[in-house]
Amino acid sequence: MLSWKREQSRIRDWIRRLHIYAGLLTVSSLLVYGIVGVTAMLQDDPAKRLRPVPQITFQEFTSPANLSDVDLANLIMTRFSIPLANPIPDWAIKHDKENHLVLDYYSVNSMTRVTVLETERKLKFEANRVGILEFLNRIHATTIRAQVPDLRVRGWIYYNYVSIWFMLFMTFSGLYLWLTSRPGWRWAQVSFASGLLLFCTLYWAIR
Amino acid sequence: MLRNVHLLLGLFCSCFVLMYAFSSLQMSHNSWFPTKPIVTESQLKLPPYLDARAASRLLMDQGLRGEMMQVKLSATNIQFRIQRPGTVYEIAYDLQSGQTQVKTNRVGLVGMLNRLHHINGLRHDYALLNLWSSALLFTSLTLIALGLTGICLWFKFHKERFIGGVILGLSLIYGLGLILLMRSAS
Repeated sequence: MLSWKREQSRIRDWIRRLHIYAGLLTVSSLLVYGIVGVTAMLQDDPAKRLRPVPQITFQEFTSPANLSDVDLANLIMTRFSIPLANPIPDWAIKHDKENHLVLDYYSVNSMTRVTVLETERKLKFEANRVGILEFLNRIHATTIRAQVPDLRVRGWIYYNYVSIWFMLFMTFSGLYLWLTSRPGWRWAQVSFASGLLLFCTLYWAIR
Repeated sequence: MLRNVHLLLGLFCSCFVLMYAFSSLQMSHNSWFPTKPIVTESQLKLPPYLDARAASRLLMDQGLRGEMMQVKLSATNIQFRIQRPGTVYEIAYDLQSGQTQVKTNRVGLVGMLNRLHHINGLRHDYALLNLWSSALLFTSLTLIALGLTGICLWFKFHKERFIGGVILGLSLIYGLGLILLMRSAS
């Protein structure tokens, strides 16, 4: 009996340690998630938000012959080092009314629209840098499925992914630590029960 | 005191945090958790020559709950949606006859969690969404509070100060460092 209690106490100490380490390791993403969540709830309707004026520049460029639109998009992305840009899938490539190729490069920092003006041998760049809150929203939403070549973004993607698993672990380990330390504490019981009841009621009501 | 705050906030918001975590996993691995909706169709008769808002109000009185969105007008009909997390009603209302086609798209639990994750704003026409938003706003504030109280609680643990300090230092250098590098990219 005593050895079982000792063993339980040891397991509990380890879980508490891992709970602490998981929290310390992922505190940056936890703060990002919290800020993004608060912003999402308090922000205006997207249709009412002010759109920034894009920064427009032109660059000399001659499109190589016999290149597909996707390959051209990738060439432009690398030649002009569009920062943090995602490769454009073929379904997202479009043409404007004058049949110019229009390429929208999305990144966590901006949206850069490139219009290929073939006859003028130029590219028109319209860069819209997003604000800091939208940037945090985009990085929080960048999942492991994103095909982003940039190492900075890839590094964040892996950290973000690990944080999701750690968040799950911290929730369950937190519940375990409560149940093995102060299960009888009335405030804790009320807090858990009321949160669970609120969630279930809201879920059932909206379902 | 800090420990109690950390515990009580964590316990109260645990279900909401789990909702965010599971739905994040679903979005990272959507082949693991299919979210294909079940689609059903039905027909209703409404009075003719209503505007979108009047038509949607009548439909809501008949049990179609949610917010009206994406109104498209043409000479002969109005198309719009009434939607709430997990359920989307696609409505095609014929102006002349009042014949209304309702296509209902309803997802299961995993799809629901995905839609709940995306709730935003506190000023919805559909009051239940505002309640959800309020709960999720509180959860987001709690995440910040849990992070900060967690750091304070760790620091009080003398035994864990060294290892915890190394882990915290490395994670801040990595996490905040990447944020700064991405933000400053030009």
